[in-house]
Parts: sequence; structure tokens; C-alpha cells
Amino acid sequence: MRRVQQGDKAAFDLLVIKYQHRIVHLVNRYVKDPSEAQDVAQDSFIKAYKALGDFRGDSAFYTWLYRIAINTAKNYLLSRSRRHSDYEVDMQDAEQIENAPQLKDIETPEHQLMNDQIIAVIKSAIEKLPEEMRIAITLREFEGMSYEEIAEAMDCPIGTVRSRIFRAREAIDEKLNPLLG
Amino acid sequence: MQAQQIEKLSLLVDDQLDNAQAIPLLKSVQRDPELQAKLQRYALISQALKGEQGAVADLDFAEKLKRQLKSEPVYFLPRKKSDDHFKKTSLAVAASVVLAVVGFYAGKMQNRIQPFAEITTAAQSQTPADQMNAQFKDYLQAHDNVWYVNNNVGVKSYARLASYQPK
Repeated sequence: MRRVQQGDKAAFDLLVIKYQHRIVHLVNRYVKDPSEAQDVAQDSFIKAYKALGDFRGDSAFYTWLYRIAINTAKNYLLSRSRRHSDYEVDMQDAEQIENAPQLKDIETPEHQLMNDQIIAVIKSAIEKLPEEMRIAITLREFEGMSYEEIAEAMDCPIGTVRSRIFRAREAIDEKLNPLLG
Repeated sequence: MQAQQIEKLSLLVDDQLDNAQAIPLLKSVQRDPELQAKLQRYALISQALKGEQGAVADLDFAEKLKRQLKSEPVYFLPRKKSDDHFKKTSLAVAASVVLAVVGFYAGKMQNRIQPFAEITTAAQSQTPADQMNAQFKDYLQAHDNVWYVNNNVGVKSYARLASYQPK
């Protein structure tokens, strides 16, 4: 993070690789159109890069980036609805927008169909997983438990948890890859 | 793709890697399109398992952004000032404030002293007493024919104007 703040663009590129999917996913909660969500996510990263001098390290980088992405998405929706491309809203306005569903984007049917297919494939793959792998990945993803908590819950070493979660992902990926390819 | 790297990718998704492990892995992802695709699918699986709508970054997302950022100027943070620097600055500011206050009050005092200074100057420029006495004596002699009448009805007092030229 220090390297990024000192102007190291290569270091920032690595942060982009790490957080790109989370940010696109976050933006997509507001901007349902996939291509627009990509653009807004790009814009969020650019804004973050420009505002790096303001990042004081009081919070985690992702928390800071998260706030920028949410504001960028909300500003995008608001400016589009008001047909003002350069309109900026402050945090208070942004909070109000969050409670205004009419301002949220409408998902495209193609995107919805793809999503349904992906979810069906993943569900089917989970059902076929060995029990210990299914429990490990479920505790991690559904319950949001840490590796330590899962190890305690499953009464096994953390190394085993890592391995089970990894193998579960690989088994699901094996089914998912042909669909996306 | 090495199996070890893919396993680390799974840990990266769960934020289980420290910087020493994450940075080399991210650099590998940056270079390897297969690792990029794998990371994308892992993200998708994670979202789907959470019951959320799948939305991940396009495979060229990072590359597009990199190109855009190339046109952006480099942003530098202002250099962090050391404690020593801070102490020196504080001392300099404190000294300036003290000097300003002293200067202000000195100016005020000067204004108060000024009238006395004028009197002193005037006193210093006065004619010496002996000379003054001699002049006064001459004046009296020159005016010894002048009457001064007080409270005498019918008698008008008069004054004779005389001028005195100092030497």
C-alpha cells in the first residue's frame, strides 16, 4: 500500500487484480447492466487512484475502496436519472438513493439466464461433493466463518480446512469451466 | 499452472495470504491468462455459493484499467515529516510568536514614552539660566515706564507692546 501511495503504478495494478471481482460484484448490486457495471467499476478504481493521497490507512484498503465504489455507483445512477453527467452527490444523498429502488438498474434477461445456469451448475456440483468438502466450503461461503473457526467446528487442523476448501472449489470449477468457456 | 499456485489462489480469495505470499502470486496472475480465468471462476463460485447474483470483472478488466491509468499522472503523497522536523518547526513558530509579541509591546511602549521625550528635548534646548536672567533684567528695564492699575475706576490701563529679539 505504501508503494502505491508513493506513485508505484505497478503496485496499484496488483491491487486491481486482487479486488477487481469484488468491486464489480459490489457495483453490480446497483448497476445491473453488466457492461455498465464494468465501466463504473473501472471508474471507481480510477477515482481511488486519484484519491490515494487521502487514504490515511485508518481503515483497510478494501473498506476505503468499497466506499468509493458504492459512491461511484450511486452517483452514476443519480446522474443518469437526472441526465446530468457531471452531478456529484455527497454521502447523505447517496444513502437516500440506496433506499430508492426506482433508481436501481434493471437486470438484462440474458444476464439473468446466465446467472440461473451458473447457479444450477454450482448447486449440482456441491451436491456431488464428498461431505467433508461440502461442509467446509459451505461454512466458509454461506456462514462466512474463518479457517480457524471451521477447523474448530470440524475438529481438524487448519491445513486440512485449506485443502478441503481448495478441493471443493476445484471440483465445482471443473463443472463450471465448460459452461463459461 | 502449478497446483501450488492454484491452491494459493483459493487462499487469496479467502484473504488468507500475507503480503509476502500474495504479491508474487498476484504478479503471476498478471502474467498468466489461465490464472486470471481461474481467479475469475473462483470469484463466481464464491458469489453463487453466497446465493448472490454472479458478477465478476471481465478478463481484460485489469489490462484496460492499466491502459487508462497510464495516462494519469503519478500521485505522490507528501513526505511524512519526522518528529524532529515537527519539534524544529514548533520551536521556530513559538520563537516567531514571542518576537511578534515583544515587538508589538515595544511599539506601544515607545508611543507612551514619546511625550516625555519631547519634554526632555525641549528642556534640553532651553536657554541657560544665567543668560535667561540677563535677558529678563533687560526686559524689565525696558518696561519700567509701564503702569499697571488694578481696580481703579476711571483710569484706563494700557500696555506697551515691545518685542524681544533673542541674540
